[in-house]
Parts: sequence; structure tokens; C-alpha cells
Amino acid sequence: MILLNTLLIALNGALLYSLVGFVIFAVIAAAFYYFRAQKLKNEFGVMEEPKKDFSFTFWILLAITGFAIYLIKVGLEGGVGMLNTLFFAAFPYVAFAIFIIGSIYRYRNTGFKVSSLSSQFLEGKKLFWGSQPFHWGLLVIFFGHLIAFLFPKSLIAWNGEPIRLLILEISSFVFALSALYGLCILIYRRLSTKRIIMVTNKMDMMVYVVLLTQITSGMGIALFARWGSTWFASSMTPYLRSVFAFNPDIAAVTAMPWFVQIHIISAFFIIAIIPFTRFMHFLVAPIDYIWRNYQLVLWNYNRKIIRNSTRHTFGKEIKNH
Amino acid sequence: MRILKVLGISAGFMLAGPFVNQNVMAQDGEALYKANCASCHKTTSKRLVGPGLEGINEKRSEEWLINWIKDPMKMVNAGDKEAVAIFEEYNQIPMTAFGFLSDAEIKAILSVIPGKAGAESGAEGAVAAVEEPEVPIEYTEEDALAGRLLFEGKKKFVKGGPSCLSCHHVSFDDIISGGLLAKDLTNVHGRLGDAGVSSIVSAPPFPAMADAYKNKTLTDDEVFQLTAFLKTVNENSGTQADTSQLGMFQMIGGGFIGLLLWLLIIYATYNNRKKESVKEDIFKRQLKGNDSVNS
Repeated sequence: MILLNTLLIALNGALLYSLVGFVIFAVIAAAFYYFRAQKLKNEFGVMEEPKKDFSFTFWILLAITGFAIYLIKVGLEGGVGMLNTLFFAAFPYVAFAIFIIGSIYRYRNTGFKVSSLSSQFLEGKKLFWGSQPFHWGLLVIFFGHLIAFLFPKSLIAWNGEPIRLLILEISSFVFALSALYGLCILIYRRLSTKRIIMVTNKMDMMVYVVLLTQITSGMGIALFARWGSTWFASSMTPYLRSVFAFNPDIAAVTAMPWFVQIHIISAFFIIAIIPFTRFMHFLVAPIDYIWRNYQLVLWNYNRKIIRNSTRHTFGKEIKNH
Repeated sequence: MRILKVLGISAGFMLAGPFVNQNVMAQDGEALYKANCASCHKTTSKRLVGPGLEGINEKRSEEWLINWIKDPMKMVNAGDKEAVAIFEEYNQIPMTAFGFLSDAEIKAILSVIPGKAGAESGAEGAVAAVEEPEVPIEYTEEDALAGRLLFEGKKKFVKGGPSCLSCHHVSFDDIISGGLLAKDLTNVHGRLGDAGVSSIVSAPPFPAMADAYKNKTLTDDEVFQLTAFLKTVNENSGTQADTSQLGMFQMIGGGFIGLLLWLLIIYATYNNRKKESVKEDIFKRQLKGNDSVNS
């Protein structure tokens, strides 16, 4: 414990900055040598098609994220420089600026690429098992946060009765678990299915790592900093409102436990990377599909040919009519 | 290049973006003192939760005070003699760190604190101190019960603040596990006493709590009842089981049972959804005997 304490104090201040600098340098250098090695490999003709495998990228990204989280934690707890101001007063605006400008830019230039890049056509079963719990869980959790942000008083009133507080917290936790469960299936699907690997890119791995961080830190809050539903309404909503009022008041978030801070930073990070990832699809979600009428598809069959067909296998009735 | 363009514009936004206001006027000192210090420190020589601050500017250097206010425990851990002595004198109750206050704000606060009473008023001060004996406050059972309802949230605060339970835990009878965001309050009354508890409740010095009760300060009655309740909790803490971990089991147990039910609902609702592409059967038929292509 003493050793750990000394280490934390030693990491403080200038030393931490030099460490961050070294890590950034190491990452850039590693990337440089990696790409040069690849280039050489291509030039001196290894003829076979390079095997695509994203597990490595995924685990490396996860490790880097873990390390970054640790650095941010130590930095914020040690009160290094202006880190708090940087992350909670400046970063939100950077994130929103990138989100808005980037989204408009991407939509105007490559509008047809703005989609979820669906791969249901290539693999449907695992997608169904993963996508359903993931999206339902995430949607409910998202609207839960939105309600606490928009109507904090109602939420506090609802949580006034302890039994209602328990119901709200446990059911929210169920949806978080549901999202995590679905996400794990989706990650497994993308890393293991050959057809899906062919349409995967590195940014997808980023999406998974960021979502994992966001969901697990949120569940950490639910378990180790309960009861988040009430204190979000009472202490986080004022912060978020102050951000939207262009007068950020960071005193309360500064005093929060580190995983709460990570949850906030990671949320703004997600907003920032929306334009560069498949997250974009939530902006163009075909919501009118929910209430639009059935589209009748009329097949121009020639009944006589069907009747006299010599085909030996019978077609199956379409399931989702 | 396109990304650079986007980043450049964003950086512009950042630079133009608002930052925390650093300009502090001297007259803010009083307000800052009330918001951050007054719940534990008096400006006289009398002790509340922490020591009275009268004459502190003469007693300690400004630099020492700024360092102390920004992070008291850092100084204690670093072995500063005066810091350790204070820490020991006050039963090792740590003072809140006010790292978010700027140097200018701390100086404004210090300028409010009066100097030590002079020699001519010394005798007068001594008389005043004698005339104020500590009278133990009597709480009735009704007060404690009302305090309990307030703590749980069953009875709303008049100005609508959140219940204490959201962030604090107490082990008392069948009250559900309280929050873990802030300190366990089971024995808080034993450590801080009537004055300490009621002053913290009425003007919270902790930033997250201050935000939660901004413009929603508790009434004097509510403060009184909560103090009564916390006193009862402290007195009975020896006979009560520790329920702080119960919430964790409820969350995990309820969570997994709920997850099973929820998955059942989803999968049952969408059971008849087509999970493969329409031509999957044809595709499979074509691949018969050619396994290398199939995934």
C-alpha cells in the first residue's frame, strides 16, 4: 500500500506528463514501424492474400483504452494541472463541435455511406440474438438518462418511495446487462464469422471498445456508487445543464469517483466519434418504419409454370408476412 | 486533409469556448466562506466541527493555508508537522479538500476572517466564553421518526431536494441499503456531534451535495429532525446488522433474474422474425459438397 501510494504521488505532475508524452511517442513509433513493415512485405511479394483478423486489433485497443483510463484516473485524482477543466469544461464543446461539423460534412460528401452498414444479409442468426437485446437495452438506458436530464424533479419524486427506487434501479440494471450481453454476442459474431470479417474495419473495433467502456463503467456506477438514478438528477443534471448553458460548473463532477468521471468522458468521446463510425446510423434511423403501412409485394408468377415445375425441392412459406 | 479541416474548425470552437471564470472580487469572499467553510468553521475562536478560524491569518502563512485548503490530506501524508498535529487533535476527521477553489478565491475567503481579538477585548471574550455553556439538545422520538422518513424520502423535503438515501447509507432497522456515492452515515453523529451534523446538513461543504441542494436548502425543522434521526442511528448502531452490502445483492440478483425474463420476452416477441436472408436455402443448396466456401 505504501509503495502504491508513493507510486501515485510520484506519478503526479510533470512526471505524469512525461509519461503521457512517452506513451504517445511509443504508440506513434510502433504504428510507424508496423506500417513500414507492411509496406516492405507488400513490395517484396508475399503473394498470398493477407489473412484478415481483427481479434488482435480489438485486444490491443482494449488494452490501450484500459491504460488511458488508468492515466486519466491518476491524473484526475492527483488534480494534475487543468485536467479537470480540460475534460469537463472544454472537451464537451470539442466533442459537440466535431459531432455537428463532422456529421454535416460526412452527410454532404458521402451521404450514401451514412448507415449502420448492415450485415444482416451476410449473417442473420447471431445478429438477431445479439442485436435485439443490445439495441433494446441501450435505447431504454439512453431514454432513462434523457428523462433524468429533462425532468429531474419528477425523477426525484418517483425515487422518493424506497421501493420505487429499487424497482427503477434494478430494472435499469437489467437493461444495462441486456445491452452488455447483446454487445458480447455482436463482438463474438464480428470477430469469428468469416463473411463479417470481410466487411469489418478498424473503426468497428473502436466502436466496440468505446461501448464496452461506456456500459461497464455505467454498471460500475450502478453497483459501487448507487443510487445513481437520484443523484444523476440532483448533481449531474446541473452540470450538464451548465454545459449546455455555456457556463460549465465543474465543482460537482470534480468531486465524483473516478469511474463516474470516466463514464462522462467516455460519453463525450462517443459523441465526438459519431461522424467517423457506424454510430451515424442513429441519425438516419428509419423511425417511420414503426408506423408505416405494409408494403405489398406482388409477384408476377406464372401459375401454370409453377404447377408443372419439375423442381424437386419445395420453397418454404415466407415467415414474416 | 478533410479530417484536419474538421479538427481545425473544432479547435477553433474550443479556443473560443467558455472557460471557468477566474476573476474573483474581494466581496465574493463572504459568499464563498458561507458556501464552503461556514458549515464546519466559525470565524470566532469557538470550535464547531473544525477549529474556529479567528486569527488564522496571523497564525499560519498564506502559502501554508492555500496548500492546506486545496488538499489537507496531502500535507498530512507528506508529514507537515502542524498539519499532522491538527489532524490528530480533531480525532483524525479529514477536512474536505477544496482543490476546485482558485488561489484568488482562497485569498478572498481568508480576507474575510477577522484577526485575533486584541488585548483590550481579551477579557471581554473570556467572559463571553464562560457565558455560553454547552446545553445538550433534547430530541423526542417523533423528531427521530420524522427524520427517518425524510432520510428515506418517504416524506418530501419542503423545497424538494433529493432524499439522503440516494447517496448515503445508514444501517438501521429495515431501511433499504443507502447510496455508496457518499459517506456511510451510521456513526456520523458520534464523530461530528449535533453542531457538526446540523451545520453540514444545512450548508453542505461538499460540491456534489451543494449542487444537489442549491436553492433547495433544508428548513430548520428538517435539519433538526435529521440530526435527531442520525443521533438515534448512531446510538443504536451497536445492535444493528450492517446492511450496506444488501443493495449489491439486490442489484445483481434482481438484475440477472430480470435479464432472463427480459430476454425471454424479446426472443418470444420476435420469434417469427426471419433470421436468415431470403435466399439462404438456395445458397446452401448450391454449396452442397463445397464446404470451403461456406462460413
